[in-house]
Amino acid sequence: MGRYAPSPSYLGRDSYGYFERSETATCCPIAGRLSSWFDPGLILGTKLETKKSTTATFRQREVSWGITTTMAHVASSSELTVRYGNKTVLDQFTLDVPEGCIGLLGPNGAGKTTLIKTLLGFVKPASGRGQVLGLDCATQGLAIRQKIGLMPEQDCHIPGMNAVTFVAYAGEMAGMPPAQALRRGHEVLEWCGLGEARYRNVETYSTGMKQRIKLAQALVHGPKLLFLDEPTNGLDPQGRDEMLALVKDVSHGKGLSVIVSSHLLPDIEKTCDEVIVMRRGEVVAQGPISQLKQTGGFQVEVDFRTWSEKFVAALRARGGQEVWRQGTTARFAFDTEPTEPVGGLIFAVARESGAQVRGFRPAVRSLEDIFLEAVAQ
Amino acid sequence: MSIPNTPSSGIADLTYRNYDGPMRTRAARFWTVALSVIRTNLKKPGFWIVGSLILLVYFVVGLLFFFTRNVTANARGAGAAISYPVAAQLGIQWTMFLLFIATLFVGSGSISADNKANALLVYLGKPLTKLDYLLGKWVGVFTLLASLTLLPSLVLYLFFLTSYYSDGFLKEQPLLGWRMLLSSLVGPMINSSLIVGISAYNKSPRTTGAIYAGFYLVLQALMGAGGFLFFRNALLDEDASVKADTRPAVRAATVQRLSVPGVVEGVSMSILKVQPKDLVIGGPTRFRDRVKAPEALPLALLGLGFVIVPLALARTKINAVEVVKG
Repeated sequence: MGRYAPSPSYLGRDSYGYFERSETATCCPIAGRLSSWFDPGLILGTKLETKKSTTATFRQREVSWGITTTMAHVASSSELTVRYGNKTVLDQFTLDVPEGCIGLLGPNGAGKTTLIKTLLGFVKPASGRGQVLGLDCATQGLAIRQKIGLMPEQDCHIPGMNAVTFVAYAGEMAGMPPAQALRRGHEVLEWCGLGEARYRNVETYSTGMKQRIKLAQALVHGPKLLFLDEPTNGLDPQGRDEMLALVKDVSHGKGLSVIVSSHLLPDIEKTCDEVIVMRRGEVVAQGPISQLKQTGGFQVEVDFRTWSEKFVAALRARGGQEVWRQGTTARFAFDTEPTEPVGGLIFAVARESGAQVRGFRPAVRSLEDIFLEAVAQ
Repeated sequence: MSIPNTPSSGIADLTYRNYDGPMRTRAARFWTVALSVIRTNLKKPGFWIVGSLILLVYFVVGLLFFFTRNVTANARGAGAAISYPVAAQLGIQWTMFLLFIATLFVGSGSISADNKANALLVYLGKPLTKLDYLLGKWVGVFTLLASLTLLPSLVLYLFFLTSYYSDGFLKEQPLLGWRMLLSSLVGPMINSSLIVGISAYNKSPRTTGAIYAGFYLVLQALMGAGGFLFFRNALLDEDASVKADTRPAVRAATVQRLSVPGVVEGVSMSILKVQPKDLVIGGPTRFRDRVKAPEALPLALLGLGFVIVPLALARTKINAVEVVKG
């Protein structure tokens, strides 16, 4: 499914394919408004309300076959300024976070955590506007937290509870009726791999289990957007793989978007479709990882048996510039793609210079390269 | 990479499914927190032990009332029977220390345990306001403490009603039920606010308990000693002067009660309309008559302060995230 392809949530369907109530209500806005005014349950404050669909910010986009589709941003900010006293952390910050699994990268002090805090309504912005799922973060913090799930970086649990009580309690706090919360708690714990340990006190859990239960409490109420702050902190390699598998599973094809903030680039690369790189309160790179990894022009990586200056000189004569070298591996860039096949070109130059080439491949940048280039600008 | 537990689980479908079921409105959120506090504390044996002791004390009060009214009142030379409000007041006063112990059991960890476990991130990451959280914690602690004082009071009232209905109990004390209800709530209200307020500033339930106990006992001792000195001077002045002036004795009685148990005692005496001299058992009548009731207004204001100030301070302390200024 491409980036702009409509997902089930764009179409206003729930995960079972049925239209959600608010979508049908929008067919007749006046009737919908009247029914909410005269609803005695709302007046008494005791009514069970059907969960409304995500009111994401939509940007309409004309597609070639003439049908109007929409592209949703799960979160966005427009000229957002956040200050802690005299220190400005985010200055006129503008960002659109698309649906999907998004990695939030940046060195310490880049403003990632401040951005998350602001979007969740914990920190009031000095100016500008931030939105999560179409809700204003300065005034609708509670409504935002109803629709999102937060997995904080730090160890956090409610003391004196076993896992299923804790997760069910988290669901109740989000507004679920107790019976539903308990049923859902069992389900989510099974999904997170804590089914066998659900009746153990959370305080006795290992670090890996604590990470999983944080994920479970964030998911219990069925959020539309999940904020994961360093989800693999303190996990061993197997635990890390399992956690990343969970994140990848939940963020693809389940109608749920995920924003992962992490310092571990391989984790982001394994789970996310798109990254946002921040530095000193501004976005320095954003886009699908596959696009960002593409190099400018045409680049090829060549692996030599022994390093050969003659090869470099010969290739330079044919328009190839050395851009990077590590040991006996070098990357060469061409302004335009060579007219002759690359393999033939490399072998011809190797023959001409007497170099022994072990292999070559079209060069791609790693996420680490993207990150380092972005923050070094 | 694989989803763990897939093959061996008892639940057939382990794939993640979204939740699109019903959601409640925000009105009940604080009660969810309060219920959790109640459920957690009902599992503590200490709560039940203290509760049983409080019930036992009220049983003794009932026995005392029965004997003074039905047995010794008919005997020659015995003292006057204690009245219904005095029995209720004795119940409150004699269980005040037990209520303090129960407060330590129930309230010490109310917020400090959450601080220690970073639970505020969980609470405030959900659609709960700081007020929902604080109110939930307070209501939880208050409900538990109130149950410890209300239930025995109710039992005592039912004893009065069933045993002395034919003696004109209701005609004599038509509002006693309401007065007992109100006076039973004063202690739980003050104790729960103070412990929740102190708890918000600590990360350890033990430290919270120690600070609260220190505040409770030291203030009581200081004010007790101060009140005693005031009272002694008032008596000396009264003896020396020709014109009787009761104001110093009233002031002494007020100063003596400028503490947590003092305020509870003084306010409940005002609600039950009990005079301190009725509570002094034994001693010469001449001395008893000189014990005055404290001024109700300063005690009521201090009680209100004990309720509001800790909660207001706690509210400023409760934050989901640390925000560094400057």
